[in-house]
Amino acid sequence: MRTDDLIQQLASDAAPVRPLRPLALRVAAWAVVAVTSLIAVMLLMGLRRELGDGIDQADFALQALLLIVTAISAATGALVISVPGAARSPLVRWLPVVVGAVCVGWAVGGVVYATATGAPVGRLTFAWHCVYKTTSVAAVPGALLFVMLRRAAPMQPLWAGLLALLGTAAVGVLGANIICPNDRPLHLLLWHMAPLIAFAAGGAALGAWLLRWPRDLRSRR
Amino acid sequence: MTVEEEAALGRMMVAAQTGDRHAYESLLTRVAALALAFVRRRVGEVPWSEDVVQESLLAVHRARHTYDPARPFAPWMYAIVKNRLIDALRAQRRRMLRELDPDVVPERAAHAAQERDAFFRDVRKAVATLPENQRRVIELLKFEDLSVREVAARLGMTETNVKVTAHRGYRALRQQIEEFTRAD
Repeated sequence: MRTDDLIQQLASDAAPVRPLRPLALRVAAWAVVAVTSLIAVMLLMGLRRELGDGIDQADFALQALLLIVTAISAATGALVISVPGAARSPLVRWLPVVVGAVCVGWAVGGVVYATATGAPVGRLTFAWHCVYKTTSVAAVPGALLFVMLRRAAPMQPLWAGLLALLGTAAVGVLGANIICPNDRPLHLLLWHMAPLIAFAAGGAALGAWLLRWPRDLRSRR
Repeated sequence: MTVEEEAALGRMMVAAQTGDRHAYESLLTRVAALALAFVRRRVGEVPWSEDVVQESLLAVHRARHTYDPARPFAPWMYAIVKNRLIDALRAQRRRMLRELDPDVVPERAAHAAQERDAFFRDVRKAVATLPENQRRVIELLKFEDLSVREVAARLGMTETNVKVTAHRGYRALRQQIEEFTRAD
C-alpha cells in the first residue's frame, strides 16, 4: 500500500476519540481501587492480633512507608511511560525499582542482623498462604492497571508490565504484612518481600505479551 | 520543525481527536514527511524507510487519544517514530542473522523460492478465475500499484465502488487460494 493511500484510509477512519484523563486522576483512580482491595481482603482474612502493640512499630511503619512509595511510584511510572514522549527522565522507571529493591534489601538486612545478634531468625518453612494474601490484594488493582495501560500506548511494554505488577504487588505485600502474624525475618524475606521480585518479573513477561504493539502494516497488506 | 509549525500540528491533532478528517489528513501528511526525514537522518537511505513511515502513521492513529494538548507535539510524535524505527531495526537485524546463517542458507533459500513460486502460481490462477470487474480492479491495484483514486478514474467507477469491488475480489481470492493450497 502506498503512503498516500494509507493516509487517506486513516483519515477516513478518524472517528472522534476520548483523550486520556489527566495522569493524576488516573493514578488516584487506581489508588482508590488498590486501597479498597486492600481493605476488602483485610476484612475477609482478618488483621493480625498484635498489630497494635506486639510488633516493632518503627520497623513495621518504615516497611509500610517503603511499600507505599513503591506502589505509588510504580503505578505512576507505568502510566507515564504509556504515553509517548511523556517520560522525560529514566528516573520514572528506576525510582520504583530502587525503592522496591530497598524493601527487599531491608528484609535481607533483617535476616543478617538477627543472625549476627543471635535473635530468632525463623525457620525455613513453606508459607504459600502469604503469597496467596499478596495475590488476593493485588489481583484487582493489577488487572485494572493493565487495562489502563492497554487503553494508553505503552512504548516500552516490558517496563510498563514490570512497573504495573511491582506496584500492585507492593500493595499486596503491605496487606500480607498487616494480615500475617509471623514477623520472623526469614519468613518476611522469603514469603513477603521476595515475591515482589517474582511479581515484577512476571509483570515484565506479561507486559511483553499483553502490551506489545502489533505490527499493523503486515496485516493491512 | 519550527515552534509555529509544532503548535499548528498540535492544533490539528486536537481537531483530529474530535473527528475532523481534513485536519487529520493534513496532519498525517506532514507527519509522514517528518518521519521520513527522521528515519533518513538516523539510518540513511534504506529500502524499508517507507515501511517505518507507514508503521509510524498507524501508530500515531492508534495512539492519537494519548496526545495531550497541554504538551508539545514533537516529543509525542518523535517518541512514536523512534519506537517504530527501533522495532524495524530489530526486525532487520533478526532477518540478517537468519540470512547469514551458513548452515541453512542454501536449503532455506531454495525452499523459500519454491514456496514463493507455488504461491504466485496459485494467486495468478485465482485472479484469472475472478469476474471481469474484480479482476481488473485487483490487477490495477496490486500488479500496477495504482491508488484507489487512480483506479476509479481509469475504470470510470466511484472510489467507494472500487473499494467494495476489491474487497469482494479479495474475499473470493482468499477462498480460491485456500482451495488451491488444499488441493496441493
